[in-house]
Amino acid sequence: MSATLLPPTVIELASPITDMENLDIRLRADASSRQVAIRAFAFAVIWLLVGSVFGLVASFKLHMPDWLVGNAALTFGRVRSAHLNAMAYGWASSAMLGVSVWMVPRLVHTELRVAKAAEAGLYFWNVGMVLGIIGILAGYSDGLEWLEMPRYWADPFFVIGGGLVGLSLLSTIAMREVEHLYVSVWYIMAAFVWFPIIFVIGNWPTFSGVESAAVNWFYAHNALGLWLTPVCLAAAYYFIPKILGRPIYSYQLSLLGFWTLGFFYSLNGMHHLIGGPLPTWMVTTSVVASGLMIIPVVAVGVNQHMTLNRRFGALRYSPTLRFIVFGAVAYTLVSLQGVFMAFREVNRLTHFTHVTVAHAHVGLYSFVTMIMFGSIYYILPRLLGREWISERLISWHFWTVGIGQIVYLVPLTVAGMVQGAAMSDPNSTWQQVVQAMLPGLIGRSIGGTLLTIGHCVFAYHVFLMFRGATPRQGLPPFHEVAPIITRRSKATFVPGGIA
Amino acid sequence: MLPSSLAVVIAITLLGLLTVAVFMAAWRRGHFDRINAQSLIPLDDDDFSVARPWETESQRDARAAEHGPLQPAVTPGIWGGAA
Amino acid sequence: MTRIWLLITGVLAIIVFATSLLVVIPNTMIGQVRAPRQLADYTPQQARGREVYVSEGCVYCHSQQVRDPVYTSDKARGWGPRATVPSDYIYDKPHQLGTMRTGPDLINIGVRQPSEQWHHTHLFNPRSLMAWSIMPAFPYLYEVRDSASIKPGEVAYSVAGGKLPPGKVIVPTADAEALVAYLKSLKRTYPVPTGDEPAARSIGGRSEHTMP
Repeated sequence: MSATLLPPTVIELASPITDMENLDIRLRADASSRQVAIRAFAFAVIWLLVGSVFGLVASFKLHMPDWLVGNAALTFGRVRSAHLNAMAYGWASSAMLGVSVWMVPRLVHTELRVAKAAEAGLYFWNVGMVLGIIGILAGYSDGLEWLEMPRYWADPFFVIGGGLVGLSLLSTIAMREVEHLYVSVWYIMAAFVWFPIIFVIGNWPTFSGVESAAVNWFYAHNALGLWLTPVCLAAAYYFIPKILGRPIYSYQLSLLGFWTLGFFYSLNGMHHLIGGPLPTWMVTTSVVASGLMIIPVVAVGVNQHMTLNRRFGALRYSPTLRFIVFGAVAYTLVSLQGVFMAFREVNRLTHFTHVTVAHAHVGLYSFVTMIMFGSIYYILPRLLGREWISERLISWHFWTVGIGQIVYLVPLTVAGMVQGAAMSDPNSTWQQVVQAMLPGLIGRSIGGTLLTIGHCVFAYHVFLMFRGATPRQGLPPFHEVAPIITRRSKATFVPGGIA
Repeated sequence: MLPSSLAVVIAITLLGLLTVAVFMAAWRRGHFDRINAQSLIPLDDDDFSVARPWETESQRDARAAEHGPLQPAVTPGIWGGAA
Repeated sequence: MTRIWLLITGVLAIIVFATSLLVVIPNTMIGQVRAPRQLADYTPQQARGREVYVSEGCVYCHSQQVRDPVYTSDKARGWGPRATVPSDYIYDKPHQLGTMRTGPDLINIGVRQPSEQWHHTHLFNPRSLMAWSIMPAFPYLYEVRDSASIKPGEVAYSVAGGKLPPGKVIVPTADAEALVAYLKSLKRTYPVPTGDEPAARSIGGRSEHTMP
């Protein structure tokens, strides 16, 4: 079969039996996760657009404060929360659910088990999202950052939904056909164990006062470090070796990176409250744990860099790799930035400023979002059985959000630094503080607009994919640069269906 | 419940020793043997044997030496899942 | 790694450890924080005002903590005579400590700004008082009426800065009154003993206002 599809210049092929086995495994895995993953990505893209609109409105309101003030539902404090929640739990988490259910079957060489539960979980999750966002805009926020969605009538949907997806993944892993579990499986499984626990703790209603603050930031930082980060690292650990065709540089380093990440990251939360009314030992624990984060971050960074070493040319050919490597580098940078900002001498100037907001976006956008973009660019063609329609759309997407991030992050960081400098001078008036930050806030709005344009390009492209549009030229994208996956791996794809 | 730092220090040390014990037990039972084999799980034979356009001659030769003759990347006109 | 249960055990151990250290242990210690004599619980109106504060998302621009004067300028800026301590927040559920200062810290705003008129006109539109302010306006917390329609005993305010047509005044809604009552209650200036004072030393070197 293979010989008829490959050009005659091929001399010899790899063992057909192994190839068919491997092919069969991949096809079976993809077929089992197809239903859930496709829907997860569809929800994710919708929330990306919704979250982008909220983000733009909030950003513009900061330098146009009399805009859209007639209605409480659009006040800055509510729209800003709606943006955060739509992006973190809507866009990022839905995309991560999709990536997880696709990747785990592939890595344990068996079909996704109880896939119907995973699908139900996805719907529960998104019902929770709708209720939560409506709750925030209607004024029913729980009042805790990252935990605004109403704890009694929106949050249970996330616990149930995440739990159902986790159940499906755990069942799949239990029925695995591999002897060893790859590092991405550890990260994904850990994320699904950690998330419901921290989410319930964070939302527990009995805390008040400074204890409420400690629990709040215990949860919020762990939402970043024990939910968002592990799944995105799982994606990076999978796609970088996969596309390059070489294994990760040092598996021992990935072991070290995983356990130190869990152990240190989970203690970081109090660094959001440095200088605040908490016992010093709690804050110091988090500052020390933040410093120790250098270990897993360097482990991951070295591992990924050395895998990519002398093969950075791949970035010219693979859009997935472009987004994923961007994200992986951003992970190292944002973590080092975070280590820095956790030291009291630096925190004295950066706390309460836009530097923190910019830092959060380096993490949530440059790392998490870019990795999710890259993952979707790889996974969706394999699930839909068709290639991306247009190389140009991918390129526009990459460059708009790439430049958009710089336009967003640089002015906002500078705004934060001048804000911090002005605040620390007791003789400066608040007018001076506000006027110092204003240019950066306008820059951030421009950057955010560019990002939103990029998101619209991406969403349009995804929409075309779902609709089944055929490539305009009748040729695959990137034909000038020769795609890397052989025809044989797609031998059984027929138009409109997957075997 | 825990009025003194000494109690906290002892409790944490015990927890830490427990962690070390678990790690040692896992090591003894062979969980960390053949560790590099695990890094090959995501990669299939055709991931290895396809020639990549960005690789140098020596990288390509090394790949061919280890995985057999390389297949070319997809030629134009054939759908190939480029990402 | 071959055993999924080993992975899950390790993962659970990590989160149990972190929760013990940063949630459970502090929880056992917080019981030792006493309500200060000088701090009363929120009245029902102030409590409602706090709900409005939470609902409008004020925390996203305003903090409610004075940091240690040794290494920050919070005190020098006039935000409080001392750093805030755990007992200051004993009635706060949920906390509104905040992580952003687009606007000034508010834990002692009741001391800095006791005027109800100031608060209401500021909330209606901050730019009526400070043209450079970027704080949102909250006109929906107020009714705009003709000044002639105001009956004796009704509270109404005029608004400067061209933010209201002439002849109109604003009448606060119940929520606006509650919010201002809450803001006026934000005073944490009473003295608290630190660990060094004789009173604290007599209870083992710890202050009942702080956690061990």
